[in-house]
Amino acid sequence: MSRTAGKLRGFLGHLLFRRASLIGAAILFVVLFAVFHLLGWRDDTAIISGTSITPNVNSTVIRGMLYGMTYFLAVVVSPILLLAAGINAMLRWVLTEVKKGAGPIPSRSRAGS
Amino acid sequence: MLAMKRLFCFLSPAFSLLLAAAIWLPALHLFFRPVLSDFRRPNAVAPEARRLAARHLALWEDPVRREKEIARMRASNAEWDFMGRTYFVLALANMAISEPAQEGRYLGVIDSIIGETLQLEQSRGIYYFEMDYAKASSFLAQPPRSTFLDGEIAMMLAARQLVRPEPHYAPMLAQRVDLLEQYMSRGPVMCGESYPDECWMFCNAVAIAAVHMSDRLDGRDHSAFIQHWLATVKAKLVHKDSGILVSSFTYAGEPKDGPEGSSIWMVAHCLKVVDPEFAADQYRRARAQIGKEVMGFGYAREWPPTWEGTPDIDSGPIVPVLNASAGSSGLAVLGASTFHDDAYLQQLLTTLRFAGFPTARGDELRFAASNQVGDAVLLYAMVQGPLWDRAAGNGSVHQ
Repeated sequence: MSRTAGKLRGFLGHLLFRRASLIGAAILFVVLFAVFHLLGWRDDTAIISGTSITPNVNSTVIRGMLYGMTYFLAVVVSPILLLAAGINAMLRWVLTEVKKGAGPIPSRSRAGS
Repeated sequence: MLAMKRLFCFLSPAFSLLLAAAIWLPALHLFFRPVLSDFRRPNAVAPEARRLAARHLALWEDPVRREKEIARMRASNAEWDFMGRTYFVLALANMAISEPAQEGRYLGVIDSIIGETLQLEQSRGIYYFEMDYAKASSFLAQPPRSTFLDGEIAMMLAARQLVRPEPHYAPMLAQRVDLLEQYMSRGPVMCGESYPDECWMFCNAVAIAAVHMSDRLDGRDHSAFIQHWLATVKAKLVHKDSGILVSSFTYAGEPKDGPEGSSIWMVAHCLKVVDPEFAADQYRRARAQIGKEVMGFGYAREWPPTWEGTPDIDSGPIVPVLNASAGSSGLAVLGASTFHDDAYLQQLLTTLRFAGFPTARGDELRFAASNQVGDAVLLYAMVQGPLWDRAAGNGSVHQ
């Protein structure tokens, strides 16, 4: 059980924190929002004011909620994911540089000798 | 070195996400923060207000579009049809004073709104603009009158007359004011019912402001009645813990709802013409207890921390955690504009641009998350000022 949980945790961590996953999710949210926007679902957000733009209230609620959700994902979450991917790449680059610098013969001293 | 690498691998992803959120979230409002003068200019119509007005003018000048928009609102709440008219008339009255060159056009629309509203009231009765439960029981004061209707109709007439008096409206306004004075004076707390055994501070504050405006026009003096009303509500209808006027109460004066954001911002706005100090005090209390700001975004709760109500058609949906109310936040724009609270006004408009889903078509602007009455409130908030100045006695009524 604990091994399975560990594997699952590892898989989720890998999926969540891989830079490609972060960028992929950010793009997915923006694309979904763009699709709903082009479908004209922005008007369905009128449901926030308790007003339905069509007689079918249920479909307005669903479209309005989907539009609102993907809007917030695209505007609030996607930039965070993209920034995180960038920060992560930068940290890895720094680590690589530190690792290089911590070798038996530091490159700077060799160059300076 | 290996330990450091492991620590890095463990911390880096989570750290990256946290750091990204810490950078993005506080900066997000900067992308939606408006230049305040685009929305609100003293004694002038700001560009965004003009675009918002263009859509309303188009609705009132195109009967087909208007029918469609009103049908949408009436399906949820017949009151909104009526209140949308009031707020738009008030907005147009302010715009007519600010832009004398456009006065004729604006007064033409005001007259058509007032004419149609009076005709509907006469032909369909007082229940046409009320929610269905109004018919469930009888008004305690007889003959039945709704302060919701009488107050706002008097307000529309008075606003029209303060722009440019039209002789045939004068007796209609005087008669409506006399009615209000008569039945409000008979009430145990000087207030009239909007629904059977249900009085609203919102409606009574509108009515009192309308009485004051009427006095300014015809030279009659209802100041004793207004002072008596003020003394009564201050003594009997202020919620003790918050110091804010309650929003609804029985005819006998027993509070039903406590203080509510969907009520107090407009109440403070109306009180400004009859008791500016009390109005400013009510605004300050509401601002401190109901008005909120998070990372540059302004919003308003429906209730202060000392009162817990239940969401209804007035509050609109309540956003969990923040307890932000769509209804209260929209009317808070009017409060902030009235009391020149520019910092809060800018934060509220930032939220409006972020979460109100502004939609521009040609010269017209509307907020997709709103409806006609919501947009009319926002428009009024953006142009209000000149009419209240005239109502307070500053400036000439006759031009």
